[in-house]
Amino acid sequence: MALWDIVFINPITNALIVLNNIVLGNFGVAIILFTILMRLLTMPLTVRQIRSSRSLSTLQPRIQELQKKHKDPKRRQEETMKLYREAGVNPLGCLLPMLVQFPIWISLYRALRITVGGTPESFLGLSQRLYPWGYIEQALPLQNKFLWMDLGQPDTSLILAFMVFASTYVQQRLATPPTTDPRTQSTNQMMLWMMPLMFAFFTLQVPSGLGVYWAVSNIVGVIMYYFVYGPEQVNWRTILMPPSTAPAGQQGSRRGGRPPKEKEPAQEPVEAAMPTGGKNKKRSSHARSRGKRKDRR
Amino acid sequence: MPEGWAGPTLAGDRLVASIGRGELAAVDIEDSSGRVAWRFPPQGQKHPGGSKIEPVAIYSTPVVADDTVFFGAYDGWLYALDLATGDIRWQVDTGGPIVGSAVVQDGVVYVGSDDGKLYAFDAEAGGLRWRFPTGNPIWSTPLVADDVIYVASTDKKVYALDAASGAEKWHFKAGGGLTSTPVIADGTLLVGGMDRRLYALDAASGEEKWHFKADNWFWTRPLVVGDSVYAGSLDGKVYALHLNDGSPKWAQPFPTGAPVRAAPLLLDDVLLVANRKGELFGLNPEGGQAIWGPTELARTVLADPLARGAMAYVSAQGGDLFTVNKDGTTALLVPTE
Repeated sequence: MALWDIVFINPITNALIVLNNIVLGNFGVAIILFTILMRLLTMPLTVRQIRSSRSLSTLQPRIQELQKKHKDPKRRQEETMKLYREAGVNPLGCLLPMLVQFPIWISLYRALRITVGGTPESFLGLSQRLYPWGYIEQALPLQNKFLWMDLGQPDTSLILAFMVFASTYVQQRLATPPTTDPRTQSTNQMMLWMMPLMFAFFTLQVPSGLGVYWAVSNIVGVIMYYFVYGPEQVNWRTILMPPSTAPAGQQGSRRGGRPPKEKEPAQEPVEAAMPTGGKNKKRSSHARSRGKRKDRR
Repeated sequence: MPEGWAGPTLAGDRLVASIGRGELAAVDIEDSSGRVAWRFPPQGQKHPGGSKIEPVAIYSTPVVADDTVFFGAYDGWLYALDLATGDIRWQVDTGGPIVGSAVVQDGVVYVGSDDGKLYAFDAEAGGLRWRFPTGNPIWSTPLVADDVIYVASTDKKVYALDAASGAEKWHFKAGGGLTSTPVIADGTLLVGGMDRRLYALDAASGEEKWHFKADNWFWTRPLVVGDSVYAGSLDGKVYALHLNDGSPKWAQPFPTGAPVRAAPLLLDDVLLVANRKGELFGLNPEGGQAIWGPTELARTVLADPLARGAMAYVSAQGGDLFTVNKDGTTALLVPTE
């Protein structure tokens, strides 16, 4: 058995079954509980990822300015890195937490496939992953019935697929960093629809236990965004409105809401670190007003 | 995706076996040509409601009685086919995938279903005689002996029912779900479970006589020869126990190196064992030493092999059908198409 299985997949598989016993044999509730617990455990990383991504997005107009200003790629990179340093932003800040979480999500996905596979073959495979504890053995076979679903079979009622679609859309909508680059905007717009459609399609193909996991994971993710951004930024309006080109922090002020507290520390050091010459300051304010005009249009 | 692991069955010179995912075929073995006489599902035939026949996968080893082949499929239907032509005589929906095999006794077909019920159908026309609900899916094959039907369920219980009426006589509760097919010998009922135990029960009362604990589940049908019980476990070992008290017969169990789901088989004086990796071993049934093996089929083997004299037929998952001689030589009879 591979090290990956021993370190990640088997402990998660057994933990799922222990949770199943705790919630009196309702495996659907066990999946929901486990997903919430895992998201809570990785919450510091998720929050860090959200904040890094947001800080990065506030710098987008300046990065674009640098790109226009410096044609030499080496110089451009140096200036961009300088800007990151001055702003106290790590460009890998939003990537690293995601990379750390990745093995956990992959393992959880695999563990769910193993536990709710539903076929005799998957059941036989499960036997090779369980710890020899009576507490776990007595839980088997798992009760795959949850609400209207058989967790081991795809849900053909479309209800779960819709839930996965909607929750993925909302999370994707909140996670997509605003950008002023038209090409990135176009890609973001496409991904905003593609990802939910793709996951909804997968939900119709895989055991519904996985769909439950996706839906719950997305919903918990949205709740986390709510707590990081606050109600001004995460509300029905921001979710349903078409994605803006402005960073999340600027959306609130544009709509008359309070500017988020998070935004200020990210911008202030940049301003403070700028050369004192009025030229630079002017250009900066000019760039911002250009951005505002563009938004109004 | 369910693949199926139906074993072969013999009816005269015709072998009925699963030769592909969700496919069954009758193979003529008289001249060792492996000629396929008919295939299931048949072209053009449908379920009574008009829907297409899609067995999905076949785990149920076919059983032949009065020129009729009975088997259940993962689509939940129990089929009765004409042995000569493969035509459907009758078909009935049980409401859940069928994993165990059917048993035919005195004109009645008994089969367990994933819907948790044991069904008794009239073998001639498929009419329902009775059904008995258990608390969970039934994945094992029932056993009929002396007008009593024994069935193991994943609800952790083994039930003894009156074969004529389906009335419960007794039940025994184990520590885990029961997926192995029970066998009976000298008034002792043997059944293995997911609690890693092989139970020996008094067939008349359901009282436990003894149990033996392995390192993983017992999913095989045990083999009883004289006063010895041979059973493979998903821990990859084959155990030999004394029937009367469950004490080990061999100095140590035989390690095959991979989970054993297929039932052990005696070919004259050689105990044939197959593990999931498709490795075959010929063991000395007295001491448990390997006479030969491993002989590798390089295919997943989960189905129970079938003995014919000193030779056995082994169905690999996916459809390849092999012959195995007691000396360990193998040949491919029907390849997967």
